[in-house]
Amino acid sequence: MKSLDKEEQKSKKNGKETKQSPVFTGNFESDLKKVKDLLGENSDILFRKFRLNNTKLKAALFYLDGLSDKELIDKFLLSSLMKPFSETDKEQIKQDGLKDFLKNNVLSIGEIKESDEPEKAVIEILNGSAALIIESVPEVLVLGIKKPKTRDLQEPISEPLVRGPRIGFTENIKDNTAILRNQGQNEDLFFLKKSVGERAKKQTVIAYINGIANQDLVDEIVRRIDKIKIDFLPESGYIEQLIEDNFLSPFPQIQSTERPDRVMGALMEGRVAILLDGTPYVLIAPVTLSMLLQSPEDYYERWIPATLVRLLRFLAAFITLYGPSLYISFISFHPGLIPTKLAISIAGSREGVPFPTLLEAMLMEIAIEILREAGLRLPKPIGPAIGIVGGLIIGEAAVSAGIVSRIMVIVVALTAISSFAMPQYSLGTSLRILRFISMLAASIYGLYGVVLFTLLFLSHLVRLYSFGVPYISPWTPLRMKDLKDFIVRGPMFLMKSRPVLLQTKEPRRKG
Amino acid sequence: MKKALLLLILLISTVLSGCWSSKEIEDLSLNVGIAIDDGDQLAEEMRHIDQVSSSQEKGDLAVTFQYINTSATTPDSKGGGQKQFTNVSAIGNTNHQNIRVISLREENPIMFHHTKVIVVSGELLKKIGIREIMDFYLRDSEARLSCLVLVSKGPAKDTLQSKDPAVIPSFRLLGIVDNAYRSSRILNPMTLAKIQGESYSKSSYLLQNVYTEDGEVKFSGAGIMRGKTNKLIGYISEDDLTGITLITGDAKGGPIPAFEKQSGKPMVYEIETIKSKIIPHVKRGKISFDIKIDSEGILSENWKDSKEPSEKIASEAEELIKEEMEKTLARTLKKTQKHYKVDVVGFDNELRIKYPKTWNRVKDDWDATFAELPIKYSIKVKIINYGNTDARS
Repeated sequence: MKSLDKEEQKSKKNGKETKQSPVFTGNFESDLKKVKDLLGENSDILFRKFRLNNTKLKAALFYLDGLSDKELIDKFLLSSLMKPFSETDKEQIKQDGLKDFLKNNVLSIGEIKESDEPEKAVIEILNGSAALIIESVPEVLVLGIKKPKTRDLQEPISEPLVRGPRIGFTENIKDNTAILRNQGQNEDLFFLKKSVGERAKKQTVIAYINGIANQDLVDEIVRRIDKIKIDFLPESGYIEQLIEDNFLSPFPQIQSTERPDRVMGALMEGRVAILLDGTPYVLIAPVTLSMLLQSPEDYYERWIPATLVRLLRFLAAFITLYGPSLYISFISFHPGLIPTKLAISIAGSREGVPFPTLLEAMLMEIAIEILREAGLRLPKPIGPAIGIVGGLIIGEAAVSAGIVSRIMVIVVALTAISSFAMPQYSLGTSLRILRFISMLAASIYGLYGVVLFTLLFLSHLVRLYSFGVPYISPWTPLRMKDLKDFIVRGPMFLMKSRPVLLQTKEPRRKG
Repeated sequence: MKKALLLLILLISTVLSGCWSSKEIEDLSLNVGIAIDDGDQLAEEMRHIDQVSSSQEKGDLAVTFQYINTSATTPDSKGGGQKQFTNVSAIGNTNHQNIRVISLREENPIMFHHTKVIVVSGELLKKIGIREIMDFYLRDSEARLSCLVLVSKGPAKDTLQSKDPAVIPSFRLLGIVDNAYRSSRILNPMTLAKIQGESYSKSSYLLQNVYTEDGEVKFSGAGIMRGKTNKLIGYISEDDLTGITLITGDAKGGPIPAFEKQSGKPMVYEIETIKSKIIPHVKRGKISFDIKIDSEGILSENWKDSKEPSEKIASEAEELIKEEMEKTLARTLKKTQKHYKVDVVGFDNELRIKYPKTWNRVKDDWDATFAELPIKYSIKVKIINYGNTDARS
């Protein structure tokens, strides 16, 4: 970053100094100097001087160590440039000129650009291209030989499935767009390129399916991305936070995923995906709450088991949100609502616990959160070990020490597990935040407080929109047609229409 | 600004109000049973500490509260031989006064959400009507309306005792009611909700009676409550209770023994299904009733040796059992209709539905009218099963 900043400053200075000739002239030494001045003292920029063999012309190649494909340079570029030209070649040179001859006959590379401005050429070099300066040619040939640093395609770590493709996005945007293309031949899959970032440009791609996605939606997303003014975008989470509708809401208003199949499914529904170079997390917008409770697997399994699993997730979401607060309100406010035998055993197990239920629940919840956070940050080999030790200490020792009751441990453990049953990690987090609020409400007013909390929380949800789409649709506003894919995952023959509220250009799926 | 102010007020109002009705479950005494006795009668028996609460020389009610001893119910202490319940008694004029006395004596306030049974002493019920005794529990919203109401011929507080520390007496009483499908001597449970209805209607009814001895209990017959006064007038025995449950069709099970005429050897019929119907007739202003009972069941025990075919034995047995049932019915009706002169089965209801005009004429003094009415009964018994052997044994 810093060296880059310097580069730009320097280039500005240089621009002033070399006012007379801001372009390449064909004078080899001066052209070389211009580029060198702009690049400065960067250790990762390599340059190689040589002669175009029997023409005796001087030439130089600039490239970036590590980012440019060295093998390509050694084996194909330099060798073909240093090879003596034959007589026919020389005639050809006379006919076309040296530059065009090299482009047409010698450089066996797909991506060649010409540049006569040193500044542009330098940016290309820093991006990983090679720049070829040749004596007597007033332009620089920019050769696209970038070999991006990337890893192999791997199973997405944060969203594993039992059944489904084992492929996940990578950090390289070209790979990611290629993966999407690879999902199925579709000439309507449009990729809109944008580069975002004031200091350091980064490529983003807005993907949508022309003919399905609502044009207003695409325009709005493009507008919001164009408005982003930021130095640098390290991750798509930045975009998410910069373009979301309500920054105060605890709910994620844009979905992020590592799974190409999920992205493709969303695109086919008429949603829009935003890819950013350098991160495997692709954003999907607009999003609804029910989408965050769904997994691609719901559609790969048969509809009956898929529906049951979905119901289970809704139940888990309910427990995550209300588990401890219901417990608190029953124990501290409404002992009459507990079945008698259970009431007796709860009262028995709470005998000797020194804290009121709220404090006890808070203690345990916070302990579990700390445990979760610690397990996340710990090096892999010791993570699980610490988890077990921590869990045992909290669970068993705290009970036998009489600090918490057994039933509370069950409630807290069940709640924690339920929050991890959310297919989207971000939703689990927001529900956990709300859980603490609902616990407080329960401790003040009992069930009445829980009801008040629910009303507040629902009124927020009703007002929340993601890119113009109501967040809890199709529940509110109720769209009977979309209920087939809400709590129930209907059988395939019902899945013929796209979500109504997305107002797609083509509301019915083909076939 | 306005919004911020509103938010502030909202926040403050939540915080300032505090946890006003919050009361942790372990800080409450879980009441499970109540026994109400005649204070005058028990005064001698009861300890001094139970009596100082009375403002007068004698109190009308001696109320015993049974609550769960929660520290004895934890998994660690279970089986430690510690009693799982505690009984506390107090003598006073009213129920509510007595409850508040508990607050003077116990660490935790008492809570009635889980009260399962209320046992009222028969002696007390002879003096004070059930409406007055139960008024507090019906008014108060804590006790469930599903709470069971029983009568005890002896001191009611003894029914809440048990020798075995693992047994909670209130739960034992509640559990016995669930055995109705195994015995014809258990009435349909009389709950607080039904008491409310019964105490305002003029018709008479029965309350299950509990007999107690040495910390053990037995459901034994029923107490007869006269509708007009809501007071107890007497008891019917276990055997006579069978007659009642046969007429009402509540005998969901239970053995009916019969004896072979020549040898005197017993055979037992167990009721599987029973259908009964009370049919009122009014002819020229004269009211009469027919009772039709239709039962199917199992020959579950037969002591007599016989070489005859099963069908014959079965039809003989059916005849014997029918006679036995008729005898029971006759005895029961004699006791209730002729002796106590009350209608506890619900003849009045059938008449009211079928002949409302006639009913209007007789309803004011129904029990007295009823005592003179002719009642006929026809019983059909069918043995559908001999068990795993044939009828000959």
